[in-house]
This record gives sequence, C-alpha cells and structure tokens, in this order.
Amino acid sequence: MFAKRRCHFTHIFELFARYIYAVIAITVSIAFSFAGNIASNKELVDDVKEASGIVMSADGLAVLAVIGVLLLISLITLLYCAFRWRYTFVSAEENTLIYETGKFIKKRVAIPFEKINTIDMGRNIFERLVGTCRLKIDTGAYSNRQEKNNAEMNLVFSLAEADEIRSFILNRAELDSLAEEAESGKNAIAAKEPDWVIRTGVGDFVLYGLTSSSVWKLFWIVVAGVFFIGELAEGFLDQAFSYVMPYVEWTTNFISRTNTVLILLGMLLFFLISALISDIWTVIWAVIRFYDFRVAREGRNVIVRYGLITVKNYTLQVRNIHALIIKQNVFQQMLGRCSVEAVCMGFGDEKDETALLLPIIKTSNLNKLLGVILPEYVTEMNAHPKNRVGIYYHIVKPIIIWGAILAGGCVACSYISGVSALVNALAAVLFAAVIVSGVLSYKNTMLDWNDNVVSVQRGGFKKVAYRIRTDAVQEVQIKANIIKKQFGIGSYYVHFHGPTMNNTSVSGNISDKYFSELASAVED
Amino acid sequence: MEFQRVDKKAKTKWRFSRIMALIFAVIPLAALVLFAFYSIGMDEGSETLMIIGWIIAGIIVLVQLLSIFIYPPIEYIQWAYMIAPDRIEIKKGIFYRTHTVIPISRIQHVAVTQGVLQRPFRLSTVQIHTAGSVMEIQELSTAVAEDICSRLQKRVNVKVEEKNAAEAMKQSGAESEV
Repeated sequence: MFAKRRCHFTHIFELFARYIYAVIAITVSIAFSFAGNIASNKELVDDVKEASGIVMSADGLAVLAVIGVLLLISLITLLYCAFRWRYTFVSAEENTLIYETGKFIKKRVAIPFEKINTIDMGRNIFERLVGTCRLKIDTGAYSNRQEKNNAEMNLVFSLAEADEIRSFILNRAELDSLAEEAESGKNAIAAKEPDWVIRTGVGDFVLYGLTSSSVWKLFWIVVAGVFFIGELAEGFLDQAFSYVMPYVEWTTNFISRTNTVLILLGMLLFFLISALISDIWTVIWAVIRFYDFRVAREGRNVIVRYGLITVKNYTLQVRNIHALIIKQNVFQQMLGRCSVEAVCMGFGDEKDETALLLPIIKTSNLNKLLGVILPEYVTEMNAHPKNRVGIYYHIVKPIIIWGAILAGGCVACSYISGVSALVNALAAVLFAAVIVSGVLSYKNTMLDWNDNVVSVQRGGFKKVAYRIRTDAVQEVQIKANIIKKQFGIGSYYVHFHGPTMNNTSVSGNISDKYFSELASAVED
Repeated sequence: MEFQRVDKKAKTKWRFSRIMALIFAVIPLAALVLFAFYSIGMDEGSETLMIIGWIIAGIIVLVQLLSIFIYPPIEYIQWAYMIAPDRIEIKKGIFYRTHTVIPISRIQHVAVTQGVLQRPFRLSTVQIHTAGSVMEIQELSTAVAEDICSRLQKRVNVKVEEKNAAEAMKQSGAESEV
C-alpha cells in the first residue's frame, strides 16, 4: 500500500500544452472580433487614451487588446491546470489502485491490480529534460460496444516515482517473475535492466525506411501542398505559372508527338524521383521514432523500448497478447523482410497506436526471433492445397473487369480528345499492376492452424498474416455466393477477442472442405 | 445433431415487415426519384429523362416486391441453426451464404430480444454474445427462444466448470511434480 500522492508538478505544463491549441484558436477568434470593435470605435480609443495617458493608434490598441485577451485566457487555463493537478491523487489499497481527480466534480476510479493489462512508460523530449516520465495504466475496458476506453490513468511522475509505482503494481498483481525479486528487497525493476534479446541497428532503420515509404503518400502531400499554397498565394502562383507554362506546353506537345513507351519511361523516372524523396523522409522518421528499438521477454511479460525524442517503454503481458500481425508491403515481400505487431488487450489509447514488436526483420528469421520472445506463436505456415478455382477469382476476374474498364477508358479518351498516348501509358501501368496484384494475392492467400495458433494470410501488394491464439478465437465463419458455393470455395472469417469489438481476419477463395476441421480445432 | 429451421411464422413476419418498409420507405423513395427525374425532364423537355425516372422507380419497387413475395420461402429454407453439445452453427443467406460456428466455451452471455414487429407473431431473437461479436438466431417462437437461452446458459456454466476443473487438475499435477 502507499498513501495518496500527487503527480509531478510539471504535469501542469503538459496539461497546459494540451489545451494551448484550443486556447489560441478561441482567443484569436474572440480577440479579433474585439479588436475590430476597438479599431472602429473612435470614442473608445479616445477614452482609453485619456484614461491611460498612452498615445497609441487604433491599430496598436487593437493589437494590445489581442495580446491582453490571449494572456488572460492563458492565465485562466494555467490556473485550471494547476487546480486539476492540485486535486489529482494516486494511492494504493490492499488489492486496488485508486485514482482520484476533481474538487467540485469528483471522480474516483478503483482499478484492481489483477485487471491491469498494460503499464506504459513514455518520455517525450520535455520529460527527458526535466527527468520525469508519463505513466499510463490501462485495463482495456470498453467504453461502448465498438471502442476501447482511453487509459484509466495517464499522469506524469518523476522517473524514480514512476518506476516505484510500476514495480509496486507488478508486484501486487503477481504479473511478473520479477515480483519475487522485488519481495526479496532488491527493488528489481527500478534497478535492473532487462536482458534485451532483440536490438535494431541503423541498417535496419535504413531498410525500414526504404521499404515502408509510400510514394502515393508523397504524391498526395505534394498535391495537397500545391492546393494549399495555391489558396494562400494565388497571385504568386499565377506569376509562377506564366514561367512554367511554356514548359507545360512543350510537355503537352511532346506527349502528342511521342509514343506510349517513351511516356512509360517518363512516368518511371517521375516514380523513382518521388520514391527517393519519400525514402529519405521515411528513413529520417524511422530513426527518430524507432531509435534503439529493444525487445525483452521477462517472465510472463514482453518489454519493448524505443524512441529518440519520445522514448516509449511498454510492458505487455503475454496472456493479453491475443494475436500477432505480420505485415509486408510489396518491397518488403521482394526483400524478404516483415514487421510484427501484437494485438494486445488494453494497449493503445492513442489513435492508431500499435504495439510494435519488431519493426523490420528477415522473414526467414521470424520464427527464430519469436521463439525467444513469444514461443507460443511459432508456427510454420503449411498452407492447405489451394483450390484452382481461386486462380479465377484472384487473377482472371480482376484482369477481365479491369481490362474492360481500362480499354473502355482508353477508347473513350481517344474518341473525345484524340490524344491517347498518356492515357494508354497510364492504362498499361494500371493493367500490369492488376496482374501483379492478382498473382500476389493468389500466392499470399493461406490458412493453417495447429493446437496453439490459427494462421490467416491474405493480400496482394500489402500482405498481412494473422497468427491468432486458438483460445482467443471466438467464432469462425465461411461466406460464399451461390457460384462460389458450387465450386466449393469461400472466404474464411476468423473473429477473435481483441482490444476493439470487431477483430476479424479474412482470407478469401479457399476450399470450403477445411471449414469443419478449423471449427473443431478452435473448439477446445 | 441436425440443423433446425426457424419458426414457420417467420415467413409471414418477414413479409409483414417488408410490406411496412414498402409503404413507409420504399414507395416514398421511388416517388421522390420519379419526381426528381420528371421535373428535370419537364424543364429540359426531355422524355428520355422521364422514362429513366420511371425505370429507376420501378426497379426500386420491384426489388422490394421480390423481397416480399419470392424471398421469404427461400430464406426460410436457407436459415438453419444447430445447437450441438460443444458448438452452435448458424447458416443463412440467399445469394451470399454464410456458415458460422461458435464454440460454446466462447459464449459470454445469451439474451432474448423481441422487436415491435415480432410481438404480434410471438417471435423472438436469441442473441449470442462472444468477446468478438454478436450472432443472432432470428424468428424463433418465444418459447423456443427462451428454452434455447436457458439451455445455452446451463451448457456455458458446465463448460466453465469443466475448464476450471481441468485447470485445477493441471495446476495440482504441476505442483506434485515439483
């Protein structure tokens, strides 16, 4: 047990930083209308001049008013944050962690230690400078049928205090083999560094950056940027266009004169340049985000730590990890690399927050590394023989449909504008992409299971494999339209217990004769 | 164990609920579409647009008429469920057939619900909640639904006890080994 304690006083400033965006937005909108009134009200300006003795123009007074309102609202917000900090306490009883907040509207949350799923310790750059740490305690409870609640407790403590609370909880909940050491007075968790079994190097980041960049993302950023700048500086762009237009005209003439092959080469060059810029950005981002990535297995917990500016340090209980997601985009498939995420109950209170286990590893080393940190999920994907009808649905059908659409588009464009080289080139690239995607999709579609794990794999350019703990599977489903039913194939849906309500992995166009076997396998 | 059908009154209930939908939603929607095409056609003096309006409105109503008169007997044949000692199986769908298997041990709780349109026919729906989703066995007579609900609850309890006993055995075995 420990008595009521407040979190670190710097929590006030972190709370303030969270509100400041809203404060600035509200202040600016209020202040501008206020300032507008001042500027247009000559009598008021004269009154202020007389009262204060300050000689100032109406505009100057308006600026002063804006700054005054901003300071006033900021001060009120800061006082509110200090008030919240003053009345926020954490304490521990025999089996329960107590979190209390509020003076007038009081909130008291009692979290039994055994229900705590994740203890997450993170440090951003400010917290590292002042020697504090953000401690998140999460039970994984649902707020409604679809979404998980945010972390039950999310406070800033000094590093030593955060370590002390974390070790106390682990000890009480008997979550960890380290609890025994803590009991014997060694204060194990605060002092002992885990035995890191996986550490990533700079080469891994570069490879991660090179293989996970999205050229399309860059393309859309450029498009959005152009439109945004266009709105801001319309006149400037007009002038810029007057310089650019001769080149655009030259390009248009070139397109009308040249053939499809040359345009394809031009598109390839554009693609490569975009990819290069995108890759540089992603490598920098990967180094900042995943710097010094480490994973350790400590008793019944997996500990992950990474980050350059914001250091993430989270503890996942193995019993709460219900599935692993192994992802490979098309570049990673070519280079035989993959990334692994854990689907963990009670993890993640930020949008799209994922429990990353391995940012990038060799696919051939996957089982070896999992054997060290999560041996429960080691399995060889021995896919069941594929039904040949699947070739039609994965490859032939998309080719027919997309072929017809693209051919129709080319004919229509040629008929309407008469310039068809660029359209033909685009259609050729898209058609090739459809064929490659279809072949990859057929190759990647797999289904397998053993006593511990159900493996479901799918995807063309983006391959996703789920390894779901058999006892986390809640139900299995097969769906097929009447034609697929006749050919004996269907899409397998495996619903499992995860942090959100609907966690489903799907693998399509697989023979339906395995369904009853799969259903029997997940029953016990 | 054999697959069971839903209650025979289900066909009437489906027809009744779809007639309600036809009157209160589908016909007004079709009329709106027809009105829109007709007004634009009148303004532009285009008879083609008016004909397109009639065709779209006709298709909307026709689909609903099919779902009233043709689909219910087919749906009745396709809808089936089986409650085996260790699993529940549900089959449904006309054009897109779905076969679901839920292990009894995964059931969190079972509920019986009765909608406004089910009440006159004394029909109910059994909702089976797992930690992953909710599955329904629709259009059962209320007595059958309540019977299934209580039987499932008993089976879930038995399964939980069996599981706890097995875990206790395993633990005691491990301790004796030590």
